[in-house]
Amino acid sequence: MKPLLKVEELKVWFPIRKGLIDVLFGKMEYVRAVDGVSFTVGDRETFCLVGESGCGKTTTARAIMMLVDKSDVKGGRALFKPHDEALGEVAKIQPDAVVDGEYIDLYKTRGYANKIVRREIQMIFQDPFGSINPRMSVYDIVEEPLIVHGIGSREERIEIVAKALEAVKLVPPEEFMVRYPHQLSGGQRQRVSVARALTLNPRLLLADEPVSMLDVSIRAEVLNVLEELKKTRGMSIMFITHDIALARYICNRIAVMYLGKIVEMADSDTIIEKPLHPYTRALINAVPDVVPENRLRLREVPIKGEVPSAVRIPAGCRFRPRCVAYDSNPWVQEYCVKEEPGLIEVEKGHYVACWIPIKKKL
Amino acid sequence: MSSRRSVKENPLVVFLKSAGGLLREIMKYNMGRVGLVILAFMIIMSIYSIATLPGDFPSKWRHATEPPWIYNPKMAKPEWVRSLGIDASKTSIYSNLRPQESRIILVLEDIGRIAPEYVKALGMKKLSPFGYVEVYRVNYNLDVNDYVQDVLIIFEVKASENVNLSRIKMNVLTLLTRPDGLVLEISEGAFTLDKVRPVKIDHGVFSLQYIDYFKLNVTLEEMKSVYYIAVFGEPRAGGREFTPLLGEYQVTLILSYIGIDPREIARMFGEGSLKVNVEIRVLGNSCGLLGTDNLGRDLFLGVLFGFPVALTIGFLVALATVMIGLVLGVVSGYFGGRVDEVIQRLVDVIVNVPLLPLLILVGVSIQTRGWAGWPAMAILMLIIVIFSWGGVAIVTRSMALSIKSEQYVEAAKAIGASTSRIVFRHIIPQLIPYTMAVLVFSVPGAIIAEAGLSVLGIDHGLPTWGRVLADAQANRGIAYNMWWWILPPGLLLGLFSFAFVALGFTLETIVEPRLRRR
Repeated sequence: MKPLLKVEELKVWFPIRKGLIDVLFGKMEYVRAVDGVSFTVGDRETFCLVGESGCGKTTTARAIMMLVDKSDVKGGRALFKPHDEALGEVAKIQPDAVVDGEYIDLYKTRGYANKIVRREIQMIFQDPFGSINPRMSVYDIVEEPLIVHGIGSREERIEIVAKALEAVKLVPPEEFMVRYPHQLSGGQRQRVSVARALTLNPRLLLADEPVSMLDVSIRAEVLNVLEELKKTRGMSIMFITHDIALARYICNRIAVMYLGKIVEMADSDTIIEKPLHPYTRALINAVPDVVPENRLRLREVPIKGEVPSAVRIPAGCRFRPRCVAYDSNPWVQEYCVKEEPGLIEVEKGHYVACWIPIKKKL
Repeated sequence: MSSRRSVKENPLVVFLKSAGGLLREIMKYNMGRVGLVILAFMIIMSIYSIATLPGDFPSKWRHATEPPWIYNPKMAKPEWVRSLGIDASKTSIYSNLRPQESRIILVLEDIGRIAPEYVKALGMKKLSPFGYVEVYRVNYNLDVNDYVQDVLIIFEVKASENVNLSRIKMNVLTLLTRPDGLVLEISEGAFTLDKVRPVKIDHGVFSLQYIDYFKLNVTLEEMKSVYYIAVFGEPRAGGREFTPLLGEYQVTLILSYIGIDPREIARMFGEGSLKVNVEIRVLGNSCGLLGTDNLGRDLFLGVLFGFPVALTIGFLVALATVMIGLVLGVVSGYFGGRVDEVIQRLVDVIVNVPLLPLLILVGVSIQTRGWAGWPAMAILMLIIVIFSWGGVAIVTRSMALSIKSEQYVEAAKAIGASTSRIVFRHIIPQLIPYTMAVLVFSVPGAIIAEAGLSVLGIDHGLPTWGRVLADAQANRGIAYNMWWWILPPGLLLGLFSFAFVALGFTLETIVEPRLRRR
């Protein structure tokens, strides 16, 4: 089964606005938000991107949604496998965007071809308070994608909207349709956001920390809705979170990102139980423990220092300045300083970008 | 599921509903109520103005030395000041008069039978009226310590086509019977019926008789300068001073038609193929609702015309300014880059061009070209619009900049919404409350600018409040204490501005709840 989405060496660099002199002498500096990321999302899979704030998870998602400026995509490509019909249409109007006869290169689509692809990829945003227009009714919000893509007559659209609202458990739909965002709770808003993404029946749903701004008590309602939709509609979900415990709860595979790069990627169980990268270990250890007797025990999180700036990424392994394993493994230090480790498959389906497991394996 | 059908309503219904809601909201505030009441008054007056004033009123107003203005008293106070106890003689207009007597007179003595006052005034010395003679009489009561400006007689000749008007001559003779018994001949005239002219008090006609009667030792030349005082006054100190003579006056108008057979004339009058409408106007020192200016123009009409002009110009200019500013500001903020750069540099230029000198320049150039009325006004307003959208554009740009990075805009992009959809559906609606407040606030701006220009001497030729004020200033209305010339347009300008400022504050409070005091 071929993957639905293939991201290959994607680089998104944002230029820093500098003075005139710097521009004239070509001294451009960039925030390297995403610095060479490769992964795949399989059909009907839930794929998780985990990492701390500022590591480039959201930028990756926005890049896949084609929401970043094309000029900021400094390298790599994102390939998406749409429905055959959509593929045929794109092949007709823009044959150069089709790769291998099955995939569409997202950054080559323009105009109408771009619109066709957008229909198949939808996104849920992090902030349920900001991602829906406060001046539009729920009906207008959920209907908008249908109008944009010219789907259905008015009566049909009302039916589709009602079904989408039912699917996200905003029942009875008639009652919710006429409401405005300020009359809804955070969880309800986020489900409106999900309903909006659903009306187009996308193949791939990007969920950018959809529950991180919700109260813990209502997270489950959104997560359950997503889980159920995945089953009933056969969608793939790319889930972005900073919470590795949450990732394990809902994802098939997890990729851990650090400073614009994926440092480890494997099945969720594997990655939690046998983490190979020191950063992954630090993330897992940082998960709070609800067991009362562990509460007062001092836990050691194996990491030091602060996240470096994405403008000046350390030479060699970018995690080296914060790495505890670097200090305790003097034999590997020469590699860490010299060269950045690639993302190597050390076991079947378990990729890691750290010299220690790589060198041990060799 | 009927409720699902009603989710979307007719946009007009939605608009009306929201407008009604807005009105109700405004009515909750005292300021808003005051503003709305004044605005309603302005609108009613505008409707009344449009309904009653003729289309060529501006041109009529410009031609101040033509009828109807020259038939009015000059610098007359408003009529209602009489009830406040201010001494101002009233203006009486007697129109659609029917002759009290009309007959053919061929013998000299006959005039005494139908107009004994003629004999009393002139005896039999003069060539008395003969031919077909009509006598009109009206009474006028001088009840306050004041004189009368003039006694004006206006003729309007209507004849069927076969009447040769140039052959019929009309002799006009006006007598004034004073309360003291003196009968003065105050004016006379003679013209053929195709060239009738109004007749006014003529000092040359009455001076000799007057000096004789009161045995004054003044010259005819001296009488010339005091003629209207003399006619309605009593001389003191040998004619050097006068006091008004109060009481009942009677104006007798004797018209005699000659030139063709008097019987023929009588027949024409009888069958209606010839008709002479006579209007006698005793011009006092008070007239109309708001008095008159130095040229006799009825200030109420001038001020009345100002209502629709103020509303139209105020709203059009404000609307155009805000719309241009809104669209360009949003485009500038949303697209950024070169578009932004171009628009912002343009804003820099127009915001820094001094508007008033420019307007004066344009105004003078309009005047020298002889353009007047609505076209001239339109050019001035266009200049105001072109140079005043900058402020709105700067603010809406910054608002658009912050809105465009909102997640719901990003979400709209993600579903594939077009740029125009994002701008018009997601960004501009957020700016509507702000622009509404700005719109309301900037309505008086154009009118104030127009008034300023007028007072500075730029004549666009429309009777506006500013124009009336400017006329008052240019003709020394203040020096003559003509408060009725200055206060009404001035107060209306203030009231107009106040209404919109009050509404603007209220709207601001409604759209920006942080400003609410309670």
